[in-house]
Amino acid sequence: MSEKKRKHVSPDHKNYVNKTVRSTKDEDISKTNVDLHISPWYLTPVLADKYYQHTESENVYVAEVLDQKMTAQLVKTLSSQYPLTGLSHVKRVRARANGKKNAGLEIIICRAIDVNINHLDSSSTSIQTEKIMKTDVSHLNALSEFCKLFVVPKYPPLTRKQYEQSSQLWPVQFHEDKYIARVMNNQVFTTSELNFIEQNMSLALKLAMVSKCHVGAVVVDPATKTVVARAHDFRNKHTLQHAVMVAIDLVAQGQNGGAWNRYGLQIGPNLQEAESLNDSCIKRENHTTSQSLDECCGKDCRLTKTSPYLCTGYDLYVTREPCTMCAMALVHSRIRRVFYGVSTPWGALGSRYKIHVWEGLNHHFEVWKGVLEKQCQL
Amino acid sequence: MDEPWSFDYNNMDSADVEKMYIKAAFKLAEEALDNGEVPVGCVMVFEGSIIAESRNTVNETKNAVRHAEMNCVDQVFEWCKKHERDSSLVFKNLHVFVNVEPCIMCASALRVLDIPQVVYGCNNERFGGCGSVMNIHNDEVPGFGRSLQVTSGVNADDAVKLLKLFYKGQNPNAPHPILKAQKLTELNQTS
Ligand SMILES: [Zn+2]
Ligand SMILES: [Zn+2]
Repeated sequence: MSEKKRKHVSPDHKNYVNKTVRSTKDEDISKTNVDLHISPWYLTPVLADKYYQHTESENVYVAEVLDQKMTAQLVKTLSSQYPLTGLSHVKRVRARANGKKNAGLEIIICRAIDVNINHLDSSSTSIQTEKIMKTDVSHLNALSEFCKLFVVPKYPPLTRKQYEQSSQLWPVQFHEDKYIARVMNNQVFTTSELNFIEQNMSLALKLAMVSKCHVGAVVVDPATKTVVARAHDFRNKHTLQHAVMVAIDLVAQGQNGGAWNRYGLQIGPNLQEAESLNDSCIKRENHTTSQSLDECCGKDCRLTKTSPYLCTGYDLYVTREPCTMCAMALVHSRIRRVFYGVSTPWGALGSRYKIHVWEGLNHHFEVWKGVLEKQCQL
Repeated sequence: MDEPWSFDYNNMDSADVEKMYIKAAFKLAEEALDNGEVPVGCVMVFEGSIIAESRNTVNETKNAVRHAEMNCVDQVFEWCKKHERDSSLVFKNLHVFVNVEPCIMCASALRVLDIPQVVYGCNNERFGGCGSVMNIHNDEVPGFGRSLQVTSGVNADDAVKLLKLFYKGQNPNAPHPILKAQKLTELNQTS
């Protein structure tokens, strides 16, 4: 379950951000004794485990092709007699790998598990070809007398790294997912987008600093670059009012919905806190009065907003990795992307689980971590 | 019909008591269905009395996380405030009854609150956190309380029927009045 650590950002890469935060007007925040100097941070994607896995292998029996003119015929016969079920990414024939040119060809006869049906030991390193291949003499004559046990990659490679590892075992097909390649090579965000990400996390960080529970979150509409909700944690007063849950309810409140404004369990900051926070208090931004959002809502945006899945198209910035409750709340809310600062041992978006890519759930979303990581360690 | 909780449950065995509370949850689920919500209802019982009862209010609140269990938890907090009880102690001794398996989020909430047990009707194949999609009820997770004791399958058939009615009505061409009529006929056929 634990995520394989990947340090894939080189210091000269454009995802490397190093600058100081603009001086903030908010006196209360500057009083909080927290170093606002922004140290370098690295944006790291949190992808499904399958992208980081090492190549697993499967055993096959391989014979040498003695008569190369017969190769096409052999492939035809073998693919009906011993289809490489589950190994469609594996090439049936390869040039022999002994360093010399024209060293001949090798062909996969069958998977080792297919050998069992002929009552042979599927772990023996060498088997007489005629014992497993039921075909006429001309075919058998074109093959070496014995076939040997080889390993081939069990799963199709999903990344270039996996492709390179796989190819060392046996030639395979590789259909590169261009977007995943960009994600893994940190080619997704432009410098100005990275600045925007940092700006949003700075806001979440400010909210975290005035929260007794030191967690802050903001919801952003990336289409209009507007902040939709600013929230911080209230779990000291209500065990379930984690910053993410509060943020989700504030988004609903911005649409004249919400629940925590009804039960007398107010999730706005108490008055003192609100006073000291000045501009960055935990207020919802009312959509109906937001001009920029109205502009964006000319098209399908407004349609999606009539559904209860209110976070459709929105990004969440939260100072630390959400727990399982919050992560699942984000699935229910159809969030678009999540950016977080620091990992937590119980975290459900990379550390303890990866709920955002959990098989069997009907909504998946992108997760990036490491934004202002040092500062977020509150 | 009597309200289920007006029975003298002290003279009933625990299975009957369970069924009674599940029926109370079921009534709330029907109310949810009548209001176009996913039909899930929940009651929370402390020291032998229902201190919270609610249903799904996702559409009403425009908040996709307002599941019956979450609404009930808020009511428990209110109840504790009103009765000056320590909420953490109340949650530690709370019994939860819901007609459908709690989702991953709600199961996590129950674990976070250290609620000892949950009784539910049918499985939740899409989001279930007590075994259907994830095992939040008994996975080891830092910060979670004791693992959650689960009793499933109480009046499961009724719960499945109610859910099926809802998902039939999900067809945008089938407005709610039809859904309601259909519901009544189907329920009459089965009772
Ligand atoms: Zn949380
Ligand atoms: Zn739930």
